[in-house]
Parts: sequence; structure tokens; C-alpha cells
Amino acid sequence: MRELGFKIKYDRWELLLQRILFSFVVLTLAARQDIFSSQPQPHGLGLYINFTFLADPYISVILKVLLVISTIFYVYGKFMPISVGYMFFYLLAVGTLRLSQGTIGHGTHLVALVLLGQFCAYCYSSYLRFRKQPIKANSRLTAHDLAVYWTQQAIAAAYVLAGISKLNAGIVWKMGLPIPRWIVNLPNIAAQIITTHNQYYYNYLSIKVLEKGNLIANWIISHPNLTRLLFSGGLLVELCAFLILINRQWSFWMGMAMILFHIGIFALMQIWFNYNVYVLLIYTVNIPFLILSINKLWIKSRMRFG
Amino acid sequence: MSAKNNHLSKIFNINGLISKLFYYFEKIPYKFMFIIILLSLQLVEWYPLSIFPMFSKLNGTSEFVYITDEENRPIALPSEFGWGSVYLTKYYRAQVKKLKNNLQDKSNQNRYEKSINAKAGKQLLQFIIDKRKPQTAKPTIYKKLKIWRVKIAINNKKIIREKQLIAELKLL
Repeated sequence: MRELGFKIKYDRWELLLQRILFSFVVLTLAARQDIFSSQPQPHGLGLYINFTFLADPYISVILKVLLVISTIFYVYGKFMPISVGYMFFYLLAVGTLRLSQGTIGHGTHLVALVLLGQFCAYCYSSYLRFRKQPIKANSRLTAHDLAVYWTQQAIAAAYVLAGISKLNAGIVWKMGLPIPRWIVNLPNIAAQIITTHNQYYYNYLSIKVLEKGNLIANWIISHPNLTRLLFSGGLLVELCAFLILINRQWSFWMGMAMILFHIGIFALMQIWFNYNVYVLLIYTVNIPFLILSINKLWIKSRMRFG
Repeated sequence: MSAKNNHLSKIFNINGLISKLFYYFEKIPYKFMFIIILLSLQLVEWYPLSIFPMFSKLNGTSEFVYITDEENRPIALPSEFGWGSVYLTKYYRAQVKKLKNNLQDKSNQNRYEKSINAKAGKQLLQFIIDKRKPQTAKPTIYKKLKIWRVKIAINNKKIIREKQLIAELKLL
């Protein structure tokens, strides 16, 4: 039986490239976050901690400098529980403060979840090292390998949860078969499509986008069963996201499917989850592995053919 | 351990049970994923844990808000104010929810709906004025801002749009 679980040994250059790319994602995200000076509707940890100290100009500069320093240590792979921990808690503070304004947005959750996964992995690895136990018995697997493994689990959890949310609407019996109510209600997504296209229009005043939205919505209303067939694929991709954990091949193909899923969402809804796509490219499609593989192939071919 | 406790743990095999549970727990693959899923289902929304409920409710209705100037011309929101329509719609809904929650007589929410919507709309307009961060080098000076709400509904395969002026804010 194929072994499930923690088994992939990553090349050190692959791990380094992943950390470099991911640190860019974290820094870009942190730079673009709005810092608010009040918490009118405290969310999550904001119920217990007042994060408005982030708005103080001096504290803000110090925290950002510390973030950059942490990121440098993170890339070099040193003091990982502290560097990843700081990166996670910084994004947690900024994200909680943003959500404490009364609005809920999910554009940055995946990056913070990935940091949470890596933080937990490095802390656990440090605990095992303290106990003089290996990361995994009879293997050369390291803390960095464990961090990538837990990162992929965080990614899988996020997408599976999105799928479960859609199934929460219940089941409907059609022709003796149990069909998720979400699939039955799918043609109603036309209302959301009109809304998102209008919202895009009122951002950039592009008439073409409005016309496109109306076209898609009318097509969906006119073809309800075809809509159900096509859009169910998205639900399947979400529920099957855990397949990225099996091995590299599954991770690559499911990662590609998830990116295509996001491209589909952008084409239909004008909503682009850019940070999600970056994370998928780094940790599931694994662009660093592809770059290294192409490089190795090129070196081999040069050695063979001169 | 006392003789009595030792005797009890032997009868119920507590230590053996815990060891067995631990052994089987160790065998479960992808533990971290399951922990995140279970925690998120319990907490629902606790950054960064979430059930990610985007587009999970497809009841055939939706709404959004947009802002126009004094001549009812739509404004390119991110360029002029630094805030997009998606965020402002969520902000408006959050203000409406907060005002409804603050009502003393919650059973009569429908009676106060118009005034609640107007108040939330004015709060939103004040928000974008106070927190204005235009992306354009020469932001436009407006005399008046108006917030409109559009409700979309799918009824008998037809798209129904209902537009309503929520509030106005005079600036000059």
C-alpha cells in the first residue's frame, strides 16, 4: 500500500527557493495592508488584544524593520521558530486589526495559515531536537521538510473547508439521488455574477465588464443544468484538495487544477485571489522544483552532447 | 501511586488505553490538516482560521453599493478614494448590522430599516472622506457624494434590479 504521510525529502536549493519566493509574498502582503487606528468591531484575537498600537508611526516602523530582519533569517533558515513566529504574529496582528473594522475578507487567510503551519512545524521540530529524537525515524527528513509538509496540509485544509461550507446548505433528493443543495441552487449564482461585475465596473468604470457580466448571468439562467455540471467541477477541486499531500505528482496536478479554478473564478466573477495563486505556485505546483529539474536536465544534456 | 489507584488502573487498564489511543493517533496521516479543519469548523471566523464561506449561500439575491457625485455620475472608487466597491459594500453591511444590533426594540427592525440604511450610508460616506487615500495625483473635489444601493434578485429566470438612493453627504 502506498505510504501516506510525511515522506518527501526536498532538495536544499528547492527549499531555499521556496523560502525566497514565499518571503516576497509575505513582504508584499504586509506592505499592502492598511493599518487602522481603531477596532470598532473586534474580531478573533482582537477581542482580547487591542492591536491599534500598530498604527503608532514609531512602533509601525520598528515592527516593519523587525519583519524584514525576520524574513532574512527565514530565507537563510536560521532561528526558524522565532523568525517564522514573528512573521506569523505580525500578519496575524495586521489581519485581525483589518477584520476588526467590521468587514470580512478572505484574501490573506491562506498566507497566514501557511505561516501558522510552518511555525507549528518548526516549534515541533525544535521540541524533538530538544528531546534528541529524529523528525522521523530511519529517515534524513529535516525540519524544513516538515515545514513544507505542514504548509501543504494548511493549504489543503483551507480548500477542503471552502468545499465543506458549500455542502453545509444540505442535501436535496432528485430522482432518488442525494444532490448537494448548493449544486441545485447553482443557477442563482447569476445574481453574484451581476454583483461582482458591477462592483468591478464601479472600480474602473469599464462598460465592457458590465456587458460581459450580463452576458454570463443570462447564459447561466438559460442553461441551468449545464451550469450545474460545469461549476460542480470547482466544488470537486475544493473537496479533493487533500490529494496534494499524496506525492509530488498529485501535488503538481491538483495545484494546477486549483490555479485553473482561480482563473475560472476570475473569468466569471472578476475576483482574483492573487496571494492564493502565489502560494499554490510555490508549494503545490512547486515552481522551485520545476526550475531545478529543468536546470539539472540542461546540465545533463550539455554533458552528454558537449 | 497509592495501592487503591494502582488497583483501579489495573482493572480499567487506563494506562494501556491511553497508550493505545496515542498509538492510533500517531498512525493518522495529515493530523495538522484535520486539526485546522476541526478548529475552523468550531470557531467559524477567527483570523486566520475560517470556514471560507464565499459563495456558499446561493439564494438568488445579492446587493452592492456604489457612489456618485452630485450629478449622479459614478466615481472610480479606488482611484479617487483608495477603497474598492467590494470593501465598501461589506463596510456598509457591517454598519447596518451594527445599527440593527444596537436597536433597543429588535422586534421592530423593519420599521427602522430606512433610517438605519440612511445612517449606515452616511457613516460610509464619512468613512471614505476621513480615510481618503486617492491613487490619482489630482483627486477630484466633489460638492456632494451620494451612495446608492442596488439589490439583484433572480425571479422566474429574470434578473430584477432595484436601485435606491441611501444617503447623501454635502461637502461644499
